Amino acid sequence: MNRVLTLDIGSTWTKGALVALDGKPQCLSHESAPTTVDDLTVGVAEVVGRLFGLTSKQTLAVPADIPMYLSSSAKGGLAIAAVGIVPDLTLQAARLAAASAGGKIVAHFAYRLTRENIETLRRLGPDIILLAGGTDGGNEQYNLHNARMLASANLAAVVLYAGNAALRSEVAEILADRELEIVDNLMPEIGRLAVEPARSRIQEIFLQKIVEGKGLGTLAGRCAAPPKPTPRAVFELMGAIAATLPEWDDTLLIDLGGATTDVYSCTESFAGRPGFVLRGLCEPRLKRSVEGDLGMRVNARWAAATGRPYIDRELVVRQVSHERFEQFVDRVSADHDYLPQCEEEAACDEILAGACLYYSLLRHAGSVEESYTPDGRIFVQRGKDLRRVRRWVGSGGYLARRRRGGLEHRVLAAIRGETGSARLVPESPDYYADADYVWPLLGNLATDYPVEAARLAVEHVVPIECGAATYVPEEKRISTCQCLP
Amino acid sequence: MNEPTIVLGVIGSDCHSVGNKILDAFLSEHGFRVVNLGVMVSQDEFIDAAIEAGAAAILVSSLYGHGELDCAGFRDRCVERGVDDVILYVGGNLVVGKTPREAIAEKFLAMGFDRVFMPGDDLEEAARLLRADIAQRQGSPCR
Repeated sequence: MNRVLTLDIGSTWTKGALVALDGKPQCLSHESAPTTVDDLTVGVAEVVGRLFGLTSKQTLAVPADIPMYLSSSAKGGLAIAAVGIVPDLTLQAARLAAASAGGKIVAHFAYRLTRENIETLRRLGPDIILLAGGTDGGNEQYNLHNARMLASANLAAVVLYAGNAALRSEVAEILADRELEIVDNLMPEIGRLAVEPARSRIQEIFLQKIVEGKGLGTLAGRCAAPPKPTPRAVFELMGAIAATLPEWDDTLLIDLGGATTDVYSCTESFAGRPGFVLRGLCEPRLKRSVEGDLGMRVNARWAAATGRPYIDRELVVRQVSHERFEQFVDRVSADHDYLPQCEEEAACDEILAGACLYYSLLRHAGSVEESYTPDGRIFVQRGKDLRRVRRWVGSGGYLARRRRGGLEHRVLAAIRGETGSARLVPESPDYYADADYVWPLLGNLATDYPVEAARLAVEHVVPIECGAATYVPEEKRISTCQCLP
Repeated sequence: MNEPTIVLGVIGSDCHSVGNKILDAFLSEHGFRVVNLGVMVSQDEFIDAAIEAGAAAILVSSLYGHGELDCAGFRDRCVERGVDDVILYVGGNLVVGKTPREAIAEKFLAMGFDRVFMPGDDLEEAARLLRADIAQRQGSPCR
């Protein structure tokens, strides 16, 4: 039987699954064990031992005929700082490139790097600094200044230069004493994105220079394909699903984690309908964004601050006091494994989750503005149009754990209530949950087995009935939700 | 790269695209590297593009009569954004009604535009002036 082993090392849990690829592909078993930060191999050996029913789980014993695939977000994931010139142009391009490579964007800076910015970089210690800026033959002064600032800073990070190609030799000279990689400009002309060269070089740097430091060195040698950052695996799975299952195109995935909220979308960015004009960058069809200030546990305090307007409204609706909510946030910030113990705490958890969904979606989605011209009414779109998204998949602790649907619907209704139709969020999607958290595991297989991985992924999500207390099989679902006015 | 880079576009809610395309083709043929932002361009979009592309000049068109409203504060915004010295040209049907040519020019020069062009002006002459102005500023202020 053609079986493969796929593993994902998360910051707290190491997960694994044994997948059969012959005939009708299926997940034979999945297991998880706490991640062992000091030596990641220990946790991996535990999971592998359980999957194969081994009595000794001390050493990693994967049968020789079973290929092993691995992703990891342990030890802070792949931490990237993005530097660009104009926030809406090269900085946005750099952020898109870093996010699509599976990076966690720990900081981003526009225009001139300051001494304070350098101190921030020193404190955050990113693995890679993506230095972008200028079109080819375009701006010079900002890039040269920023390169000099990085040259004198003595940071451990690899600098990846993806800016104005005309400056390559000068940048190489300035950063001669630093670890520097140079790649094609990610915005060679105004408005034209070319993130792929930077994206693939980030992956190479991850393998050559970072895998070892993240404790993956010995494991990497045993893998059938190079290990990936977890979000990259999920990104590839989203691409495989859209490519092999047309009815699952136009899908949104939100992974609500303890530290970050990740949003993935695969849908046409700009429909080009008559009367619509796009301003700014035309964003990629397959896009990931990652929000470091929206998390359910580690960054709950940040999420409570960012999400304040939404949270204040919801507290009134749910009749929960501010004091109670603040208490809950303190509790989960201190104890990352804490689960709600009463109805009121469950409401707090849901409000916090709603805030993460609300703001991560607002940032991922574009906007549209009505404008009147002598030729009549037109619509000016900025950013990505998510209105055609048909399926919304929730992943991560909270979205997998809950027993009641409807949160996503409430969030969409709240966005519409606040902004009218100005934000290009999904119009009427169906909701699903990646309840077993298998998408990252299947993402590892998306390059070598796209058809099988995509099929298994959509088979493993459970539809969520909006407002209903239980999950309902697909054929029994109603297409429109009536739980909210 | 000896060709000077210029940013071109039609400002505000104006969708007149024909003249914009003619200007793009003409200036490209006359040795300029044209970053054409098309129609309905905001002040910040002009400035963003000028910064990233290291442009020497921004050429603003306005055909629908609201040019005065759309262009107000353009130079001030350039100063705020750190591109104080970028060359600013404006041209088109800049105001509604029959305002004398001199009065229109005066208005836009006071806003900080370096030159003002109106229907019937000679494009060859405009290109010559643009080249001379850029040479005089010694390089590209946005670079």
